[in-house]
Amino acid sequence: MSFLQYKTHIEEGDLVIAYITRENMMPLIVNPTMTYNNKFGTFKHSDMVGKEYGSKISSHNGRGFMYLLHPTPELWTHVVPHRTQILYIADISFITTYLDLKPGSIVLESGTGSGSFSHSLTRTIAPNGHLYTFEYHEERAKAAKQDFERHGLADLITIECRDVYKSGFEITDTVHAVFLDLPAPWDAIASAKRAFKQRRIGKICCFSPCIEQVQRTCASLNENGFVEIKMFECLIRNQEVHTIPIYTVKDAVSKIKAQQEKKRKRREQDGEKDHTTKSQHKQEPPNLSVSKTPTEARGHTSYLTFATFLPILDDE
Amino acid sequence: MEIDQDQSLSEIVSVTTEITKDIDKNIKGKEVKGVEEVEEIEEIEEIEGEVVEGEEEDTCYIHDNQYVLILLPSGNIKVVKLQKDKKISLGKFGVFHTNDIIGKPFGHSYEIHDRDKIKIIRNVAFREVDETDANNKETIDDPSKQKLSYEDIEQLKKDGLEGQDIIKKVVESHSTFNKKTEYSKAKYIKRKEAKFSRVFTPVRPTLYSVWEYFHTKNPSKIREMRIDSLSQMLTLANVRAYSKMLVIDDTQGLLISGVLERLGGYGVVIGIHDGENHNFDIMRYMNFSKKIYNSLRILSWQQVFKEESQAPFNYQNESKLSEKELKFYHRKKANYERIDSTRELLFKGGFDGLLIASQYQPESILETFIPYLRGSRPIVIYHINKEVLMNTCVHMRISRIYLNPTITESWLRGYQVLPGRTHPSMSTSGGGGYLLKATYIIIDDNNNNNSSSSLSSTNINIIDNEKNMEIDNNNIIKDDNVNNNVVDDNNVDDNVDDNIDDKVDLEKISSKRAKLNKED
Repeated sequence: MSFLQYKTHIEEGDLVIAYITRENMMPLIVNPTMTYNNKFGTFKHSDMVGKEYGSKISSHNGRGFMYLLHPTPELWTHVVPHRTQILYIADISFITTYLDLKPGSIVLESGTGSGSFSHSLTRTIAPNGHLYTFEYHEERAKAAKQDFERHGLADLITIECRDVYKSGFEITDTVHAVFLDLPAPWDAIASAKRAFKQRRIGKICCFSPCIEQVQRTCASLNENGFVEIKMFECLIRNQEVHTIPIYTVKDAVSKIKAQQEKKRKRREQDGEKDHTTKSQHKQEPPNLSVSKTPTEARGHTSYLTFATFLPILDDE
Repeated sequence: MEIDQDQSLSEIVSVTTEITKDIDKNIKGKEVKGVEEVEEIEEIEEIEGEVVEGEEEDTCYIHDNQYVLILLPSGNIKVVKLQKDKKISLGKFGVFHTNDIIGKPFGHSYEIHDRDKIKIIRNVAFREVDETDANNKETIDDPSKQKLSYEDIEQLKKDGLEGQDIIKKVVESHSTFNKKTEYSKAKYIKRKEAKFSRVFTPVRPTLYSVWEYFHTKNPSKIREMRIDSLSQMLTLANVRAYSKMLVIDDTQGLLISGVLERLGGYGVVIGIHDGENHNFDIMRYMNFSKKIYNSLRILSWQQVFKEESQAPFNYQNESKLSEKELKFYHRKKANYERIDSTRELLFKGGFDGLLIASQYQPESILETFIPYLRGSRPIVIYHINKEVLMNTCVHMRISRIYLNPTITESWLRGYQVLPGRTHPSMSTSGGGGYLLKATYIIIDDNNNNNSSSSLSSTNINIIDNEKNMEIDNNNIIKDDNVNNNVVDDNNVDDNVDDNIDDKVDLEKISSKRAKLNKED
């Protein structure tokens, strides 16, 4: 149940996210008979048992260390083995809020993909919500199902391998929110509409990378009676922080002078004997904390198209 | 119900300024008579008094005694507290009876007719815009094209015409309407709707809609936090049922509302507020159930520190108090005991996350609350000014108990999506603020040689002691070689790069530090 509830100490059988570097993390199931090797050395699982989550452990040959982190849906996204296109944190966060998800929400997701967003959704709707998720790729559906079971999420997730374009979701009057990450969401919108709880307001989000998809999606949402059709792009920009010295123009002059002095000395040395010149003590300028965006950054993930499902009226 | 005169007046003023010269001069009188205006901001004294009974499912139906956002035809939003058997005035747009919408599901729009009757509006789909040959070649700004005068429109109203009918008449009376492009026709109709339509929509208060209301009305009140930043805070801090959170909230309760909603009544959050009494005003608009409020504990800054002694409670003999005094006494006593138990809860520690959106220096907040955090738990700090977070980020890198401190800027862009008319919104929010996130980690340098130096003393010494600082910096750079997590690659000196293949003898470094600690 570690995705749904925190633990303090690491026990045998726990899923631990080994943080080696920012780009290199490894999911480990703690088994005291095992060792984990990477280029920084050998780490014995038996050393991990009983440690607090967040502890730093050193490798046995002393070449390096790593941190033992508690799993979260966001860390899982980094380490999910059979990953397809994953959702980014900005999108995950915005969608969760816009769809008004909270404990108790009942959500429909299609497709499941690697199951990484399913983890995030389930974290938010637990302990009394439910996620219905659909994946047409059989192997992926199996792998995701296995992950949900291992991670103690199986009670909260119903996963089905199904081609939703052909056969629809076959869920009626059940869900509060729908998330469609499909190449042609417009072919699933009519079926998604039936899945909504019919007598209350609901929200739908369609996730598409191309603007042409957005336009077809909006037309379909409109035809199917959805209202408040809105579309957003959501990104995060990393800010790299550095501390740098800021030199003045006087420093520029001193730099030239120093170069000239060096040259002069060399010339003198060539001709005559060495003249010792007093070295001027260079004063370091004060440091300044600065930030900049990376030279290359993610410029687009997908367009998020949202709409509202209206409750049906008594005479409908 | 109290009448907030200022509020209702300002409402009228804002409404009247919207009205252009030609119409609706007499709405002032119409509006105020016999209608009670719902006050907007009142002091929260007792949260219990604010509670809406009922389960989650019911929040999709309009309740008696709940807050509702009313979307007006002008696009403005008005907050009202619904109470049965009352009338709500929407200024020039008319009046409605609360009983007509209580019990109905949220989502639908209503049109006011015959002064105070309402009828539900069927969903109107947006229509396709057909391309025509029309263009704006002959468009000139000439008010005389509109044949209807202000007096004519007033007469139409007196004749009993309302909403859509007036809009139709106005469009018919525009002499060159057909020469407009389809786009400008649509625009013209939209403008007239904002003026003459009497359609309003009760909007369900959700984190999004409540945020939108405050962000439009008074962004500085919520420290200009945009919804994408707020949402990211909740995700990054892994806020969910059964967690135990610390929230430093100077956003009038916006942040704490988000946390409370995601806890769903499971788990606990301690909210730290500025001043003597909390000002988490925004919470009330979320219509939280009693169950959700049960997760909330509140402390002032003064109550956070162990060394700040609290005034002891003056226990009295209850039998000697009058009924009125007794009620007051019980409330005071309960309040005292609640604060006392909340302090105990805080000092016991074991918290699962720290969320900060505060006016105070983040470093000083970290210093105060880090001892109460468990390992591998997230810290997320919001600020509208990046510079504040930059200093904190540098501080975090030096102290080593924070894994991967990172500053991000939130970026959000809304689009208009209409058939043939899709483009980014012309005007948009200029910025959503910055987030600094990190994970609290446990550096027990002596885990291999069983020395007794404690975590906290190591860290405090690192900050205070120059000698240790040197070693520590050294270690950070070496950390970086191994972990790439403290300083950005670009910032690492070349000569340090050469060291990458050197064996990093951590034990040597840590025993050196332990020795220095002992020397102190």
